[in-house]
Amino acid sequence: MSRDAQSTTFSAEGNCVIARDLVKVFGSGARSITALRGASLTVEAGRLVVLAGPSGCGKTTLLSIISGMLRPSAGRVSVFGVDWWQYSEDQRGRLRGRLVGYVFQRFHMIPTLPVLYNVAVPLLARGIARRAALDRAAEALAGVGLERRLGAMPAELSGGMQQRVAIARALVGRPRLLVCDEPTANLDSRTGREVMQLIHAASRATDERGAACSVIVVTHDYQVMRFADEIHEMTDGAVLPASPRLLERVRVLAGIHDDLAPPETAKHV
Amino acid sequence: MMLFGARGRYAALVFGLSFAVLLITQQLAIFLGILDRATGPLQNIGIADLWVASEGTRYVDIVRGIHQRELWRMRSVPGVEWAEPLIVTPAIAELPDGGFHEVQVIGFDRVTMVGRPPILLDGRLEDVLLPEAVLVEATSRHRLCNLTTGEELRVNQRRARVVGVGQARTGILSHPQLYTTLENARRFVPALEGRMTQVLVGLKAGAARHQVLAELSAIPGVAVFTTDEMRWRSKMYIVFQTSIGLNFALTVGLGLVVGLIVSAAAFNQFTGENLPHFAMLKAVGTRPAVLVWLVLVQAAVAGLIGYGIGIGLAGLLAIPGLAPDAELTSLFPWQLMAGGLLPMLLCIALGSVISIRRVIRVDPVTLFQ
Repeated sequence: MSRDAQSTTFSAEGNCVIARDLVKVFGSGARSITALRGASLTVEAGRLVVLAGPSGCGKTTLLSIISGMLRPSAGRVSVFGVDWWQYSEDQRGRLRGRLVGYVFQRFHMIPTLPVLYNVAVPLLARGIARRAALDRAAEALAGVGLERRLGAMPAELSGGMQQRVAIARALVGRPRLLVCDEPTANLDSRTGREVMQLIHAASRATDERGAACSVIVVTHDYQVMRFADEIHEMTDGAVLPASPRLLERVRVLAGIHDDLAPPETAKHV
Repeated sequence: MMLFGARGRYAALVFGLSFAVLLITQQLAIFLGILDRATGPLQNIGIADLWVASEGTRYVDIVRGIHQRELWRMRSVPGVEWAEPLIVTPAIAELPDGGFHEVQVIGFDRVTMVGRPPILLDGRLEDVLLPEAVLVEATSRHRLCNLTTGEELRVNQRRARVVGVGQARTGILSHPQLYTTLENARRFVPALEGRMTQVLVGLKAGAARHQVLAELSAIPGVAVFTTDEMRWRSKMYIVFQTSIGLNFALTVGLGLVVGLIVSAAAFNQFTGENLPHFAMLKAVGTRPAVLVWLVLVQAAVAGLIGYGIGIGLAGLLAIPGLAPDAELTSLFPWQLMAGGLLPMLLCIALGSVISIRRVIRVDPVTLFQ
């Protein structure tokens, strides 16, 4: 696990995400709130990075900035060499659709569409032909073990199944970065573990060009942290290497003594 | 598909739009029917090229007398083939059952009979030349105890005898019509002795209409109109000089407001509920134009279904009013059907604009909660 993310230069080479000295201030004047105070983070390609920290420490803000959805007040961010804010909103959206997959705490399924179509949405948004999009969506659903529920409506699925659908939706476009915001927060521990196994498997999978998918997970669930290649701790708007105390807690609460490797690896998506 | 899935809300939206289209087009159909009926007397006399009435005439049925001597001046105008006097005047008919009813007495020339009812259903036309003879108009006859040939009544306290039944278009007030000769009409309404209320003019072949019109207009105290001008003037009188136009405008406006409110509210609610889904679509790279297209397609489909139901119901309700003797007249031309699309488009456009604004502004960052 890398402990020294802050020493990396601002170059895309070998790195998926480079964020430097990010500042984010919401509002202005006396009522302004500073969510990030010089946060820096580097994520190497093919790594599963966990951002841990208490509520309000800026985890989600950092994730939003890395995802190109929120503009930093100061600092720079590059995702595979792409500076989001050099592009128009339209171009940014298309780049995001190609580079990044999202798994949200709330699953954000479209309730009136069967899961197959929910998963196909990112492909359809990219203009991929309907038949091809549905075929790939079916493959992605098979990858998360839902090959028999293609026609099910989201409301017919359990929370865990819905999150698996969300993972399939996030991965169906073969993104190079998977961004997960509290992916297990609405799930019981067993289902959360299954979901994390899928996410971990995604970080280990490679596409036809041999490119790995990097994963950033925001969480305060110690069980999730067990799957991390790196853990960073956020405190008061800054990114710090995980403290020995946090790592110890992860080891103890997760029942793991020596390392943070996942107990088993799910089949690759 | 998002809105289609919310069936209850979709049904409410379609119902609201249907109701608005129904209200607007059905009321307009009745209004058009009233305007059409307002020019009924003009439609009964199709052969006149020009109508001469007293100066200041604004409506075909509201006229005052023109002196008989003006008729000779009109006939002497170059280009006039014929000019025939007509009397249209209200009167009170006392009925065999002891009741009474306001009627419209129409007196026409006994020789040319220009102005007679277009269709004779019963009796002989020449019998109307007899003293006291009247032809009763069929569609409004039920208001006159269904008078038949041979029966008698009193018109302005003078005896009248029904010699036949004719059919003609009645005016806006739907008063029963009694057709008779000029002489009989003047006997029923002595105030019109030596006078007429209108003169119908036919032009010689090749005569310049505007020139004849100008020369006739030079006669003091008269106004001259082409049939189209008289029709338009009569319609404008109904629209602007009576409360009918305003009442219908208010009802149509109300329909539009209902449609706008229902559409805007339904779309706004729909958008609000689906905002996270739109945000998710944006997050995965869906272009804003595609999101706008999604909203517009859903709006258009809802609008077209609502329009179809509304216009269909309005058409069904208009069918009884198409009959010539209908109490509640209506007219349902294709222009009205096509025009019904406009309020629907307006409702949908407003609803869509609200939705589109919210959809375009939604920030996918809201998904990270």
